[in-house]
Order: sequence, then structure tokens, then C-alpha cells
Amino acid sequence: MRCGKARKMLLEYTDSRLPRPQSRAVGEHLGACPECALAAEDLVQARRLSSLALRPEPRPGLTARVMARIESGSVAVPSRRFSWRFALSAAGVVAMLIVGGLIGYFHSQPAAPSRNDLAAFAGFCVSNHSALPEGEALVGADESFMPAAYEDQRAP
Amino acid sequence: MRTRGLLRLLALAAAIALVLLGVRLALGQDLQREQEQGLNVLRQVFAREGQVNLAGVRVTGLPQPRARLVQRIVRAPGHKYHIEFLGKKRVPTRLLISDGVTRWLYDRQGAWAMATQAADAELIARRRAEWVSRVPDAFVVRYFGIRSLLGRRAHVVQLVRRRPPRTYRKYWVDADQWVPLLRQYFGPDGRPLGEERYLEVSFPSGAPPDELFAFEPPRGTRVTREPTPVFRSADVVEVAKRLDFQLAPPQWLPEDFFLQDACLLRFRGHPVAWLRYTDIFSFVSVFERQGTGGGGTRGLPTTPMVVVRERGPLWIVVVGSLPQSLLEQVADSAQP
Repeated sequence: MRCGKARKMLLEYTDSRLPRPQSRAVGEHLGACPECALAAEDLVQARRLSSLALRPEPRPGLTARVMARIESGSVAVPSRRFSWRFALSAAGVVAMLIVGGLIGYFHSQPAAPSRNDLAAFAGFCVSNHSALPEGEALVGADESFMPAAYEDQRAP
Repeated sequence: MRTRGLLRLLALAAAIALVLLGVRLALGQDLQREQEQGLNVLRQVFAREGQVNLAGVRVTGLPQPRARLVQRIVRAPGHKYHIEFLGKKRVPTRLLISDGVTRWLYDRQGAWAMATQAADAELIARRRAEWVSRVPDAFVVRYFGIRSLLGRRAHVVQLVRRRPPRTYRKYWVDADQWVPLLRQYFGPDGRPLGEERYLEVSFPSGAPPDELFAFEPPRGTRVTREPTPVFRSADVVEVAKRLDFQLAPPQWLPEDFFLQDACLLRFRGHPVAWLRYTDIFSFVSVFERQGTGGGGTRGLPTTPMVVVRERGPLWIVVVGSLPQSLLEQVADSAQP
């Protein structure tokens, strides 16, 4: 995926509104393109800041008024009796934690070799092919090309 | 009467044949002279290789707008060089340094460095001599005289492959220092496939300080020392013995390409076979390693001059300066 296309989809991507294949493609691009990754990060940051800025401020004296109502007894404070609703909610939370833990466990296992490994290997090959300026005299032109798409994946 | 007419006709035909023969001879001699002049330029370039003091900025580019590389280069005799790869806004990103003994490739951003044995000057000289002798069989060499480039005089030489793919190259070689100032590479249809040109160049009289060609990896750098001399010829059989998989050399390469090197590299602990083929002026590298499966090549970036294949148990990567379809053919001919 090219940067221009990825940038167009960034907004929806960061909102998790993209269909899965497109979302995956954008994610892969962000993994390989630091500039777009930075742009995505900026977007998330900007959204977070704007949401903070738009959050309404409480009216002055709200805290004092609420406290006064509680103290005067006009607000019912729930008693600490056994509640089925509370028990069910707690069970739901525990179940979610267990499921989340299992997902986390499986994700933490060594990942199966993926496309990224192959891409990194390709990057390694390109860098080796390119980094031999001894052929400089007449053949260097071919040997110095480093196709941009692999540049970020070069590693020894 | 009839006999005389016939004789006249015969004389005319003979005269025309003689003229044509003369023209052909003259043209042939011209072509031969051109070829010899062009070859002489190549010989001089090879002879001066690694022997020049040079400082300059060079741009390498493919027709694709993103595939462009700017290098700041300093060279000194003895295959010493200091090459900075400049990124956006001309910020150095990678460094390639050789003091004639060790060659370092250093990536600032990734904080890694790779050391390999530097060029084997004797081997290169031997190889060049052999190559020049092969040129006339594989290429038509043409010499276009002296032109001006970057304010300097440059010999212009063109090499066209005799057999398909009929790609061709043009070299603009500095007439005093025998360094190519501009290299152009064209497809069989004349479409430019790439070029490499100096934007600025100078040839200082004194050698630059040796410190410029020494490299010490900064603290925190991941360093890989490649025990195999990268630029030394090795036997394919020898390389195959040291692999943990069955090597599958390509069964097809364009005519006039021959195996130049075979060597062993390591990538993330796995042995990698690297076979380098050349027709003297173009290189095709074939890399093979044991695949780990599951990945697939779908979704990989499509990049000019690179073909990636997952074939049976192998990962095969072909890199080179040939039209993409030919690189694919090379990759597909490697059958494990």
C-alpha cells in the first residue's frame, strides 16, 4: 500500500471503522513506514486532546451541592446487602478477565513465521546486493540501488 | 553491339560492387575503431579503479520517484571509501566505510553495524582483465567521442547486449581521471531503467586523512561480524555443503550471464546461500534460505528489481538490474 492511500484511510483506521482486510493492510503499512506511523500517532494524540478539550467543565459549586444533598439524606445511598445483580456483574468481569488472559497468553507465544520475516529477509538480501561498491567502476549503478520499500526492514 | 552493351553493364556492376565494398570496409573499420576506442576507455576505468582520490555527491535513481538514493562519497587509493547515504533533507542514514581491510555497513536509525572483509584488490584486478576479454563477444561497444559534463571532459561509451534482452548502457567517463561521472541504463525499448550521476565531483591532489576510513561502532550498536569474506569467490558445491537445506540454483538466466560468486551468509542464525551472476555490467543476486512457512508472499511490497518467492521449503529472493519479468523468470527457474 502506498503512503497516499494509507493516509486517506488513517482517520477510519484509528477509529477502528475500517473493514478487516483494509485495516490489516493499513496496519502493515504503518509497521513498515515510520512517517505514516507517526502521522497515525499524531492523529490519535490530536483526537485525545480534542476530546479532553470538549469535555464539559462541571458548573461551579456542583461538588458542594452534591455533598450537601448526601448529608441531608435526600440521596439514597445503596446498602451493602447481597445483590444478585452485583454478583452477576462480578462474575461477568471475572469471565472477561479469564478470556482476556487466555488471549494474551496465546498472543505472547512465539508468533508463527509471518510475511514480515520474509520481508525482513528480502531487505537483508537487498542490502547485501547493494552494499558492494567494489564493483564501482562500471557496474556500481546496479549495486547501489536500495529499493525504498525495503529500506526500513534492513537488519543484519 | 550487344557484346559492348553487356561489357558496359558488367563494368558498371563491378564499379558499384567495388564502391559498396569500400563503403562496407570503411564502415566496418569505423565500427571496429569505435569498438577499440570504447574498449580502451573501459580498460582505463578498470585500471584506475580503487586508485583515485575523489570527493563528490552522487544520485542513484530508478524511474520510480521514490527509488532515489543520494550518497556523499570520499574515495582514496587502495579501495578505501567513506560513503554516507543521505535521507530526506540530506540527513545521513547509513554509512559504508572501508579502510581497505574491513568494510563496515552501519545503520544509524536501526543502531546496527555489519563488518565484512574488504575488497580483495588482486582478485578484482584479475577478474576485470578476464571481463574485458569477454566484452566484445557479449556487447557491441560504441564510442561517441568527448562531451562536456559537470564542466569536465568525458568520453561517452555505449554498450549494447548482443543477445536478448538487448538492454544497453551509456557511460560518461571523466577523460582525465577515468571515473564514470554518469551511468545510464536503458531497457531494450530505449526506456530508461535507471541512472547514476555525480551532482558534484572533485579530484583532490592529496589523500584524505585515514581516520575518515576507520570505523568504531558507537556504544549500544548491535554488531554482526560476517566471518565469510563477502566478495571472495567460493565454490557452489562448497557452499551447498554448509547449508541446512538443498540448494536450488536457478536453471535459467539470460544469455551471457555467468556465476561470479557463491558465498554463505547468515540471517537470524540461519545459513543463506548467495549466488551472484553477472554479464559483466549487470548483476543478478539469488539468495536462498530454508523457509519457515506460513508467511506467503502476498502483501509483500512490490519493488522494482526485487522478486521474492516462497517455493517449497525455500525462500528465494532475486535482486538485479534486469526487467522485472526476467527476474521473475530467474526466480521461477529455481526448483527445489
